[in-house]
Amino acid sequence: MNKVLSLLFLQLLVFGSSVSAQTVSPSIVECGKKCRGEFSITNNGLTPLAVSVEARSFTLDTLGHATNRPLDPGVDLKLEEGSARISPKGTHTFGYQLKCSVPPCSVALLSSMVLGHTAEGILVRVQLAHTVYACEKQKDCRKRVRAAAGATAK
Amino acid sequence: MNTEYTVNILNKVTFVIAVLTLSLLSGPQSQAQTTSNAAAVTMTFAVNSSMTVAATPSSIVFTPTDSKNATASAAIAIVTNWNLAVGGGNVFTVAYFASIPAALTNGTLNIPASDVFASVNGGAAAACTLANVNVAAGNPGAICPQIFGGIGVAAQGTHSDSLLLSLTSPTAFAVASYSGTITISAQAT
Repeated sequence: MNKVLSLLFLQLLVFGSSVSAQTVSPSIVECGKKCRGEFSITNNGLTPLAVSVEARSFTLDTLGHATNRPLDPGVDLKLEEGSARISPKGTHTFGYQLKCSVPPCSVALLSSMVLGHTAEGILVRVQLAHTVYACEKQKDCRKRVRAAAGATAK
Repeated sequence: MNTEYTVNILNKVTFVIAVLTLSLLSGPQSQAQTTSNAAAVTMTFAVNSSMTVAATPSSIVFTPTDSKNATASAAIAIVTNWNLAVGGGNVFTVAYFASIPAALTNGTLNIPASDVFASVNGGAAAACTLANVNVAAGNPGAICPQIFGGIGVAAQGTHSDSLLLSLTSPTAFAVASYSGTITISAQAT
């Protein structure tokens, strides 16, 4: 284990200039049956970044794992933009409107970014989730969804 | 006598002028001190919850060790960082391929996800064929062993992991240049 961590550290030193981190904010929101929200993706890297956004409904299991699926019929989600190009050290905000006809609705907005390029081998794509819990009433929506799933943690 | 009297008068006049000058100079300052209002500056600071994932290197290549096996040029170092509104939530990081039969392909020839093995933090390598969709991953059957599963995590935290990929096929890999994409997916629930 120590060897692995040492190698990781060495790798970070060697490839330090190419380390590229992406941030989603906020990561979790709660809202009522109809909500208008937004989230930001920050490109912490030094090269421009193409971002694409897709939406999934999801269900939690007792551990809080999310099982994703295509958007449920009762979910009407309008994304203002499905993709964007973010400049180095830049931030882009994606707006959306969500209507949930049969609450609660749990939706993950997944932002995907390909970091490198290669003609052979494997590219690394980072995907960050903006998690939306929509209920009849906004307050404690996430807590109620988790409780209904039997999730043990808060 | 007259001269002494004149000098005395001049001294007194000089003294009076000096006092008046000093009072004029200090006047505006004392006035400012007595008439200024206490200014209140309102400060606000809103911090949204956030999650950051860093993965490096951004691409890897495989080097064959024999006709049926290949190792990756480097492990993928993955750092998951979160700042949530409350503690006790869950944070998951997983890796998956978009296609089960063609994790890598040259357009015609494919290497399936079952031939791609992942070792997390130096653990035993296992095929990327899991079906349980932990987090945002959307392709049951092409998921690698879980990279990080934080259950009941603190509100703020960072977790560092490594993912070393390798290729193992029951038959010799067909001659071709293959490429693919692995998705590192993170979600807080």
